Amino acid sequence: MNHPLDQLLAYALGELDAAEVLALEEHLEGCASCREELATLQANMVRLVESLPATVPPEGTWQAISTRIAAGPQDATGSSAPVGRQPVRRWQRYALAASLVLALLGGAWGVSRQQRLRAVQAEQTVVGRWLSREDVKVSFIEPTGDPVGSVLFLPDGRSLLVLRDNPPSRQSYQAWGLREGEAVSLGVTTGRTLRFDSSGFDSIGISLEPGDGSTSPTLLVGGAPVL
Amino acid sequence: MKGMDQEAELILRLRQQDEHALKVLYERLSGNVYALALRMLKRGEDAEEVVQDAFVKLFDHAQRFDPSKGSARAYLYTIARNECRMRLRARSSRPRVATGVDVHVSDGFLAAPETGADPIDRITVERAFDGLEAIDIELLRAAFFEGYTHGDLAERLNLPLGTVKSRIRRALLKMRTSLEDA
Repeated sequence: MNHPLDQLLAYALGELDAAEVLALEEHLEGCASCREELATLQANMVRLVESLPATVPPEGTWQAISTRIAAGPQDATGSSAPVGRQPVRRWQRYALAASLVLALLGGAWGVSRQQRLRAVQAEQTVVGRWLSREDVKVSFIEPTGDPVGSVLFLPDGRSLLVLRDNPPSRQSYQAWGLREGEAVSLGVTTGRTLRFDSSGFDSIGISLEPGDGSTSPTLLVGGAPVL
Repeated sequence: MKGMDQEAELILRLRQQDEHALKVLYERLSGNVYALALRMLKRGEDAEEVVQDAFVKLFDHAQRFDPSKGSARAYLYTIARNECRMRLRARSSRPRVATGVDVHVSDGFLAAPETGADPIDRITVERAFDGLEAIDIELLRAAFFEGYTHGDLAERLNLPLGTVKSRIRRALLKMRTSLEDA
């Protein structure tokens, strides 16, 4: 049997194209020695990376990742026919955009100015993308007094929570779908945006939680009807 | 359960859009990803961007991860390394290249990232390479950390392509003993 040894290295390094990957994986299924060699190459690649001293990324890196994930795949701006729902009018959208962007800017000063500006820019991009849709609907999260944030709803149930402030240190915001007295967790964020699916719920509750969230709401800070 | 198994499970949970699973992976592995990106790109801002892109891609492409074909760490580091390689290719001026096999002459290959971590970086990576021949160290550094293709290296070192590939492969295989002894 011919063993594609050079291909094993390229496979371990992720440098093969799709057709080459398929061919090599077919060979690997029937070749124990190549599987063993590949495992060694992959393990040593990991060791090589981990021989470098681990370095903590700059503050704000996780926040930026969380925000980008909240934006969802690019189809968040794709078409979706609104059925039986009244979308936000254009003038309302501009007003909402202004208020949401101001809300995001309001909490922008805390870490370092540059890091916060980068994070705010990413959050604004996400919110702007959602607001650009004709069929988006917006509900304010209101406890008493000032709204703590907003929820943007798309007709297919996709929803984006936009909060006015970051949660306090070592705490997180958790979104809950409320239905017939039951609260179902929809996700947790340590940032100010969170994407979730609100299909089938009557309203959304937002709670402040210790650490990475809880199995039931700890401190509800507000709620909004699902639109 | 072993740590590695837990990490594979965490990646599988990303398929259900579990952001908390991603955060756990980030807390465990972002320091290694950032170190790799700093080592390869030598620019803090670019390295931070790679960390972001690598974890976002991990989240978006979690369904492509097959635990039977490799570890979670290998999958993540491969994504990060490919992000670095793309950026290196896009740069108009590339890092200095090896022109010979004298490890002392080409010591610039281990140029420091701009983070002040250089002395530790130098010691740890040199130790990892301990026991390898000079030319193999040179090839492994250039291929793995500097992002050069095997074809680039064959041309620059005036060696046959097959020789370059097999030497890098053998060096990576041989490293196991060196690192385990380290």
